[in-house]
Formats: sequence, structure tokens, C-alpha cells
Amino acid sequence: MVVKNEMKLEIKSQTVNISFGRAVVAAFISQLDPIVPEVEDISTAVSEAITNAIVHGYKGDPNGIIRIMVRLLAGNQVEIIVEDYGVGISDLAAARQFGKTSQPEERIGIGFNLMEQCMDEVILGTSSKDNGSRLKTSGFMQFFRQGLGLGKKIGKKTGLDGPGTRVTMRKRLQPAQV
Amino acid sequence: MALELILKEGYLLVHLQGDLDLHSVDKIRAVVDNALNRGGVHTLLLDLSQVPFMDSSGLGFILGRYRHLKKKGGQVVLIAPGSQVRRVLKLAGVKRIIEIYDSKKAACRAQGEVL
Repeated sequence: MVVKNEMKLEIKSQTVNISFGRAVVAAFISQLDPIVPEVEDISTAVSEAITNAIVHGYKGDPNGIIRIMVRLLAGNQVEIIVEDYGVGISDLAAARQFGKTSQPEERIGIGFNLMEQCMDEVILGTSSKDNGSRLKTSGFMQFFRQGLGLGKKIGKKTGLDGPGTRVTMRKRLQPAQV
Repeated sequence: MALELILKEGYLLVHLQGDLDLHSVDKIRAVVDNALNRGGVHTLLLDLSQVPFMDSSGLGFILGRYRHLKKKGGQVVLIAPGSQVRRVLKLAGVKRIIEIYDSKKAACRAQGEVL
């Protein structure tokens, strides 16, 4: 995996930082000349990941740390990792279900589903139960991974060192138009 | 996020301006629910023409108002969502249950030109 460029950003788990986080990611990936729908999809996925860290990871505590890492990979691919050091997710199966949410407010439990639909691949890892789960592999990444014989890695443990949740998302962008 | 409300003959038109995410929905929800709870509102029209971004928090706000009004026989109408908002609405299946119009004029015409 050739990393052509990368960035790291740490923000506090405050809702005002959600737009800042997605704006920074959008600005960073602009060097790949993405088309507007790609930027919109990545912004949506990043916003959901940060929101989940605030709502589920830190339960609204504004003093948690959320780390966002973006890697630009060979082949016009973008990898985004959003991780927190909060309480983790106790039930990964429930977290990935459409309409399931642990929050009583109008959190409609569609965040992970949106991430999956906006990105080629989404991997959710949590240390809460020292396990991890590959949510879905679709589109190009499914073809790519199967072609390399990596399909067996589905379901591989991706537990973190400490409490928290890590969301790894990948998307291949259309080749830049000359 | 800024918002402007117009209430007339049971129609509540809310013009939203800015991103609709977890940071902004609490304020919007409080203001809109305050207007809805005054009673008599049967149709909530949300003008999204100046909302450049919305995530699942915004969806939760819209669907919450939809459920609230549906119980009373009312409805929610969405106006002129931009490309990102429209895509999120489509991915969530909202387009199947809530009317979406391309312009405020078209939405108002469909509601009998009350607003």
C-alpha cells in the first residue's frame, strides 16, 4: 500500500467541530481533483463518523479526543480513519443495523448505513468487547480484495489497544480528467 | 444556522440557512417545535435551498417532525434540496414518504397558494 500523502487531525468531541472535521478532510482530498459527488459522499461519511464518536463514544462529553487520519493511496484511493477513546460499542451487530440506535433522541440509527453507502468499504473496530467487524465490502474494494485473495480477512479482529471505536473507510475516486 | 419562520393558516414555512448536522439541529428543533406546539399547524414546509450539507442528524429532525405531524393527519414538505441533501434523502428512502419540490413556488402552488 503506497501512501502518497497523509494528514492527521485531533479535535475535541464537541458538535461545533463536526463541520470543521469534514471541511478539513474535503480540503485535503481536493488535491486528487475529486468530482463534487465524491466530495459530498466523503463529507457525509466523515460527518457520520465524527457524530458517532461524540454521541456513542463519549456520550456527549465535550472533552474527549477524536483523531482523524486521511491517507491518499496509489490508484486514486482515499482511506479515512476516525477514532475515539470513549466507551466503545458493546453490540457491533446492533450498531450496523439500519434503524438501531442506543440514543433516545431523534438519532435514527442510519449513520453506519450512510457511511456504507457513501464509501466503498467501511470497517468498524471497537475495543469494548475486544472484537471488530467488517461491516460491508462492496463495489471496487470487494472486487479488489477478492482478486488479491483477501476475502478471508473479512471478520478479522481489529480491536484497539484501549477503549474506543475506530472507523476505517475507503473510497476509490474517479481518475482525474486531463 | 439561521432560520426564518412564516406561519399562516395552518402552514408553517421554515427557511433554513446553513449546515444541518448534530450541532445545529438542537436549536432548530426547539424553535420549530415551539411553533408546531402552538397548535393548528397541519403542514410543515422546510425550505432546504440554502442548506449545503445535511447528515443523519438532519434526517432525524425531518423524520421526527414527519412522525409528529402524521399522527395528527398532517404532513411535511421539503423544498429545493441541493445535491448533497438530495442524495442523503434518497439513500435514506425519505423520498418515498415525503413530498419534495424543486422550488418554493412549486411547493406553495401544490398547497393551494396559501403562502
